[in-house]
Amino acid sequence: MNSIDLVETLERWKDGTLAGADLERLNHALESADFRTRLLDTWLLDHSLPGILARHSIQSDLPAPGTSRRVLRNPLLKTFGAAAAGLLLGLFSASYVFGKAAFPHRKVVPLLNESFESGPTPGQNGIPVVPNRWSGDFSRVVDAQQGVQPNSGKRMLQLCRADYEGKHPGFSYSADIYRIVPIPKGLTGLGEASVTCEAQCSSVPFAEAKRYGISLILCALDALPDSAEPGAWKPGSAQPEPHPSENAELVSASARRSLSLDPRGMTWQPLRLEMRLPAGTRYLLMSFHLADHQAGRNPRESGATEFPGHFLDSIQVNLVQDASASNPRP
Amino acid sequence: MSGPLPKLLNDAASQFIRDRHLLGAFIGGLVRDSHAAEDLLQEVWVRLAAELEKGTSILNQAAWCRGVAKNLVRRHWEKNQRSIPTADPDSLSLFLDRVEHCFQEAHPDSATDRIAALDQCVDSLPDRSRRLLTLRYHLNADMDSIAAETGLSFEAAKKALIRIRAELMDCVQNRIRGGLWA
Repeated sequence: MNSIDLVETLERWKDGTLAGADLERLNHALESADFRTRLLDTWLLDHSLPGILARHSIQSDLPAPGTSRRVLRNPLLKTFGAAAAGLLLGLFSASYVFGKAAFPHRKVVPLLNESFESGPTPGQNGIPVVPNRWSGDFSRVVDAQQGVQPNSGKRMLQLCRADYEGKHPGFSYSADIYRIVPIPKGLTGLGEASVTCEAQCSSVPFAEAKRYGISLILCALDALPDSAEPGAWKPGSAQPEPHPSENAELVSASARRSLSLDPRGMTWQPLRLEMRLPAGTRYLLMSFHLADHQAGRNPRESGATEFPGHFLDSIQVNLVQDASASNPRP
Repeated sequence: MSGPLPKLLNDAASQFIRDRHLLGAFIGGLVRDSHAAEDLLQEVWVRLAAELEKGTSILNQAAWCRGVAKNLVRRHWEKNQRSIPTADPDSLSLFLDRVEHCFQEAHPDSATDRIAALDQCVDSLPDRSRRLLTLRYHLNADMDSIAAETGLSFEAAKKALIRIRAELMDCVQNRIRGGLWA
């Protein structure tokens, strides 16, 4: 078995598509010391790659020490860099557990605990310009729907359609919802600070695996846009509408995580993301983007994609502060 | 914090951090969901700390943690039947034992060397290959998104990633055999 065969076999193991007979062959191959070493190498590679790639990404994309915030020309690279910072933090997230016993200097400040039991109806007119309000594409707060029970409480958010009131009449296949979360003054000025966000996602069953995916994007902001118009978030007039993370004037860091929804539906899948906050961050723009990849592969001239039953619930955002980093060094 | 227990915990934490690459790879290889794998890794630490607080003497911490991780993985499989291949329980159990044997043979320092070699191998990749890896392993993009982003078909993107990982694995082995800085 060469390296490609081994990687393919182990890939099928991870995908859950390895047949029983293949597992027996794998067991047989593992009698060989050479094969055992190669399996260890492969899994160590898979485990280490995110951190290594994050370091490479940070080295190539983040501003050099001592320079002011750099506006990266390629917005995707900018997102990569910011995501790298968040992911590097995630690599050592086991330290949060150690915090109970060995690192008492970590402080966790809850910023949002949303289960859609109360509060104003989500806006349906694009990205909000005021904090503490859900707004974006057409969505609604619902009770148990089509067999899906809320993850907590009695209500949950249903993402309904990939457009909002007054949106330009183009084709779109992603339903978006945003919220601006204020960061209390002074919490990002001392020591290292990061935010952790966790949300639960669910849907009704659907036929094509990997048809629906959902992404969570976090953007750190020093200030809100000057204009009270939702369009103030968007740089230039690029089409389709760019995400605010591409607006380098407003966003000092961003991070993203995606997951494919389980076609069997009816269960809740967690979506988690961590991001390190630059000093001086005053707001966090959090957004969820539900995409219909099948619709995306077959774009129409116009019209918004509708979603039959896709839900969000139990959204928690915490600020994690490492006060020890603020101690003066001798 | 003072006294013998905090010192014991701090020593255990230091070793746990040193061993985390191997333990993380062990759990991450066996559990499909990366978030679940991270949760299991943290659960191992919680159990280790609890045992130390009870005064249990643990002679071989790495083996103890691997044993706990193995049981947690088994329990995770039982709860998530759909995430494992359809195979008879004996084959799965044998696979788990053999994988544990793989990791018993590895020394934490060899993991450090391998990761250093991997870092160099990633650095020497063509930009296009590194970009594919970044999309998949750093940004957690699914294959559909990677295909759309790179202009490749779903199958071509999948095969390219398998080929790049195999090249990296060969590169790591060559560097380890020929000396890390070869």
